[in-house]
Amino acid sequence: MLRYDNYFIPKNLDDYFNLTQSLNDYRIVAGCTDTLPWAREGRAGDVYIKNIIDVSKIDDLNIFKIEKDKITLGSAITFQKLFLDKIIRKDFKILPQVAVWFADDQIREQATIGGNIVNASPAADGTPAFLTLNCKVIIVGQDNKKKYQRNLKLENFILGRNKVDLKNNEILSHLEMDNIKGYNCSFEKVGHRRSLVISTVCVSCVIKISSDQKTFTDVRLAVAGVCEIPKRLIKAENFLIGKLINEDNIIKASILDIDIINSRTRVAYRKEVLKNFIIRSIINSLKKAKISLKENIINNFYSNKKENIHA
Amino acid sequence: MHKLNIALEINGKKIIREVNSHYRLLDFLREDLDLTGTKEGCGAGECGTCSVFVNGKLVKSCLMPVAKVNGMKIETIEKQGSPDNLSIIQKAFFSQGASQCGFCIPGMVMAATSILRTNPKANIEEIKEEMGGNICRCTGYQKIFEAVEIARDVISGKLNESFFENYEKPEKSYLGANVKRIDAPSKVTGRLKYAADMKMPNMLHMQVFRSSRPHAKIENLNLTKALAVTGVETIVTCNDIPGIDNFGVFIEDQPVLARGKVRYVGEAIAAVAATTLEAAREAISKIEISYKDLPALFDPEEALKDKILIHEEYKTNLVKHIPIRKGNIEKGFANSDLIVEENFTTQQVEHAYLEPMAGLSYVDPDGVLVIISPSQNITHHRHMMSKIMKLPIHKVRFIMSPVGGGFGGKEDMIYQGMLALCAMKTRLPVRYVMTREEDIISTAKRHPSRTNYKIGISKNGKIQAVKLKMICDGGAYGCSTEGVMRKGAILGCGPYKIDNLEVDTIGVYTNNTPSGAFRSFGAFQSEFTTESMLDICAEKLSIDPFEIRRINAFVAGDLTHTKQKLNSASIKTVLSELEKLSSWEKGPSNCRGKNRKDLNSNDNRLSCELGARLSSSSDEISGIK
Amino acid sequence: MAAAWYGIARTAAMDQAGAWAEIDDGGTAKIVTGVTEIGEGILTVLAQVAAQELGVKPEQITIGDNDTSRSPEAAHAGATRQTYMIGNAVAEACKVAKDKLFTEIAKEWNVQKETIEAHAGEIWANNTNYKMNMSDAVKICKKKYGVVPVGSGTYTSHHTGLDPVDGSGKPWQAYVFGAQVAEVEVDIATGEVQLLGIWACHDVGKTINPKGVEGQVEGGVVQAVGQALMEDYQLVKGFTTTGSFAKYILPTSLDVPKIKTKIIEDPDPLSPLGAKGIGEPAMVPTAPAIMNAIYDAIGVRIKSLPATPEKILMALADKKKEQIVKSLN
Repeated sequence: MLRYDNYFIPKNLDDYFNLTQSLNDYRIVAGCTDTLPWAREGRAGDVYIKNIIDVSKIDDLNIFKIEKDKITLGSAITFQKLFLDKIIRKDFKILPQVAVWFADDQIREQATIGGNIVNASPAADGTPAFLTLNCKVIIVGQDNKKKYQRNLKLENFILGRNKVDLKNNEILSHLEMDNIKGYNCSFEKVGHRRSLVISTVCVSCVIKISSDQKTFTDVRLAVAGVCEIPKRLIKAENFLIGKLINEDNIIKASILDIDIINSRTRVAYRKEVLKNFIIRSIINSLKKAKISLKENIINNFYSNKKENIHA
Repeated sequence: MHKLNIALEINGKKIIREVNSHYRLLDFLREDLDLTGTKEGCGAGECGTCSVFVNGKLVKSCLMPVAKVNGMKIETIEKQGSPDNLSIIQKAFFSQGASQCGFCIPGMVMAATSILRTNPKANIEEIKEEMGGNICRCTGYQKIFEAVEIARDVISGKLNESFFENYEKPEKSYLGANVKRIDAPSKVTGRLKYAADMKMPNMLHMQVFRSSRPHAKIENLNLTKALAVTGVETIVTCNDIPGIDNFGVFIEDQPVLARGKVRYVGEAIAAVAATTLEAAREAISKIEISYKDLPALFDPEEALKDKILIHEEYKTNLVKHIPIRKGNIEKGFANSDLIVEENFTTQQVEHAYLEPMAGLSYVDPDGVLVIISPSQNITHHRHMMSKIMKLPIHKVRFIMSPVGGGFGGKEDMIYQGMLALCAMKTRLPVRYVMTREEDIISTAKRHPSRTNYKIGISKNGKIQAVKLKMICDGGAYGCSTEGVMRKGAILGCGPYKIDNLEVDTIGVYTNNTPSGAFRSFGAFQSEFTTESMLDICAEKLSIDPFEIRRINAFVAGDLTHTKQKLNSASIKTVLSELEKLSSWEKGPSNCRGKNRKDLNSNDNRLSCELGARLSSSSDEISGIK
Repeated sequence: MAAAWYGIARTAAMDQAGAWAEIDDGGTAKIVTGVTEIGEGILTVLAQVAAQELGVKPEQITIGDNDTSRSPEAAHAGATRQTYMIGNAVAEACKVAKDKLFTEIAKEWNVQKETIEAHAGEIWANNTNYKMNMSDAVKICKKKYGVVPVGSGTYTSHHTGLDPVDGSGKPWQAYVFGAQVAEVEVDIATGEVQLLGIWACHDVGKTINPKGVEGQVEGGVVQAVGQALMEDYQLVKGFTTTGSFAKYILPTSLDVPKIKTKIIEDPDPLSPLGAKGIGEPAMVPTAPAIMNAIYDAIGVRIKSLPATPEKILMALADKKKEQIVKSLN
């Protein structure tokens, strides 16, 4: 049970900083979809905090801007917005794919992308997708009544399991990401079931191919669930960029980053699935670019198809 | 307690209230406004029974601090319809038989309402995807999906509303007719009150202090600080029991509250009754205890050695051993062309009825002790309670409250004793509602099993001998272990004529969470092994799985494994009907996978790929806000 | 696929249930019995049984609450016993109540009691013009003849205990049989199993409410699917690591197969209704059918539940290694 005395909902950053200055015992929440389940038996148990500061209504945290070269999303934007927005569905297809795998419709209405990043779970679904969009985080703080801003690459913002680079009263204001119009993408995830599922492994793949459809011009791959923090698969990316699109190269790429895996449990399983997901996500992205590869060659390595049986 | 003021619109009515500041929207609806159609199945956003509309969006109210909804419009299940005036969606649920225990149904109706409002042309894949946040434990979802599809068609005009009236008019007999469930209207409208929805004037709230050790002596229990918490009316322990302190379905070996020692993590030690839930929880946190840890047993085979005893008075950790013997298995194995030996394990499983345990108790004006609870066996509970409370049996009254799912998990009298004790001590009504977490750690589960199976079979597929030994972890208390072992033994070798068999099912005490009754009670575990073995043998002998079962199936006149003569045995009919129903492609089951010719029938679903709603035209999605 | 069998009502011990019935004003009826509706639909089944026996409509029946101080004992909800035990007890009680009514109406019409029948609220005497609605019949019975048409009934199921040495005995008087076929799709990149379809055939004796039987099969199958593929209550030295629904994985709407049920009827001669039961038998064949289907799909035999994606992928990897070793030898 979460007990608190006061619940504040600041409307702008000034209000927010005034609150953080005047209160000593406080906790920041946004969607509350992680906080309330956390304050229960078996996890944090009964928790008492004097003050709750709900940042989900701060205007700066609700920016939503799509420009030619970048997209700006406030940290209080919900996952449901990523799922339903028409433009995001058309031009940023990786995001609705992530969203549909994220919890369920009801939770998505409340869960914020900022909250997901700041909680920094090793299995955070949003983070790999944002990494493949070259996400930059914009942090706002106040020092001696003076507001300041600092920008970081998302991969540098996440420091470790449940740890991010936020000091004192700093707040994650918004995210800036590449506009990936012209790219094809795919998101693969596996857990224990098909809804309300926490990732065992998830991979985000965003690729661009040459106009003659023969080579990879840009490849971005990121994974979550296999190590302390979600990561870009640099070796695979560097290997594929500029190379011909064929089965052999994809298979070679899939095993290059295996040593990043250091999960606490089920290491062998995650290794196997990561390899398979790299291959599958690239193939699925290529399918969207109307490129089909020879499945039987891939099948000898593993099968991209599913076995469909009745007994 | 701190309060805050909120103004909002609830089901079309504008209200201003002062509310406990830490309340979630769920608590505000249920406790302050008595809108109990919205349920707390888990409190952690995993089950969907708390779904409500906030400014038109469906959210989980257990994850929504009430402060967040100030100034907003809330719509609950109560707005959707009433038992005599059901919405179309509710009529569809009613006509399709989509409600069983009913606990998840208000949430399902809300989810269906949300889907059809924003996506009136939703196809089945989209419906399934959008209902992914609502769990049902009783229905298997099938009739819920049917109901949503029918509601969609009626709302769009594709199907006439008279469909609901023209539904079934049995002419000759009501037996065999699809009469609509008589309890459905109260369930689809969220009007039915389960125990946690009930309130009584001056009601106290009970909370339970539970063991944090698997096996330990209770050295010192200090209630002083807890008793000093404002609002606490009483704290009860085993010392407050007036009569004989034990209960259990088969063996009465469990004390109402731990006596002298604890035998599993989660065992109840003390119960607090206070004027508010918060005061009760605060008192629990102030109870001081010191344990002396005892060596604990977590493996049933280890426990069988009896080096450590869980219940000293029984001198053994064996709960029950059921032996079944027929014929001569040595001869049988000698006559076999193929002998296969395998080991199987099944896991401990939680009932996960969506309604967490809850109950109320009070002493009525005639001095009768009354307990209202969703118990599966109030008759037996009354017996035990009268003995425990030292009351004549007619002075104990058990009233069954609507059960939000049982499956055997609500057979144990796991909390009613402490609840009754609090009511008797305070002479006030007392209510207890378990959190989901509390329910999971403290209540009985399905017995995990470890089976060693040896089968001897001739090359024409006839079973010559079976040796089945199943060991089950019974956990800290007997519960239904004896019955589960018995049923598992009697049914274990399946519906087959076997002349030589040796079956042993063994239930053992350990310091794990108790195992108890769970739908199919031992037969699930034992028949699983027989059916797996038959397919293993079928493959080795190149016999079709249906055929190998037909070869061995019981017929009328056969003796069962317990030597009972069967007057009738429909297994062969069942098998041949199933072959037809499933368009079974004959042949042994060894990877005919890719070569199967009867895939993609209408009877199965598509593989779930997620993203059904992403492939429909985005113009049709009006849910963009 | 997999087959199964199950026994109906309490195991190896006598089973009993009692009920009261009253044909009431307006041609309605009251049934009072210790029935425990846990969602399986027993209330509706009893209403149908009573309606059929008494000659009124199911919607005119009120079933009293289950209360140890107000209703007769009908024992517990479990062991797939309620339709069998309580259904038959209610039928008995209704027969007695109906007999009282028919006796008085026979006097009223001066006909033989055996010629009187009632159905869906109408009562008539065969081969005559005598006919009236049940509401009037009750009024006449009570006001003119001073008889309240009440009845009580009890039903017994004769079971014996088991011999302590060889287990012989008659634990039940009625048995049911069932079987299911499962169709799975295994994703060999992740080890995930999706259950596409279940075909189920179950003998229920005699169907009282077909949709109710289907509901039990569908619900039982999905519970078995949960145990087969994803549920796992874990304890580490007595402490659970799966203490919430976030960690204890239940099947959602996206995890369940389409289920097609066919009901077989092999009536129990000892059961006046012929009905047996379905609640538990519905979920016994499912898990082995799924494991057998997985074997058929990928040649991997899972002998330890649940068959998680990890177990399957690791078993596939082991199988590959074995094949490589074999081919090298």
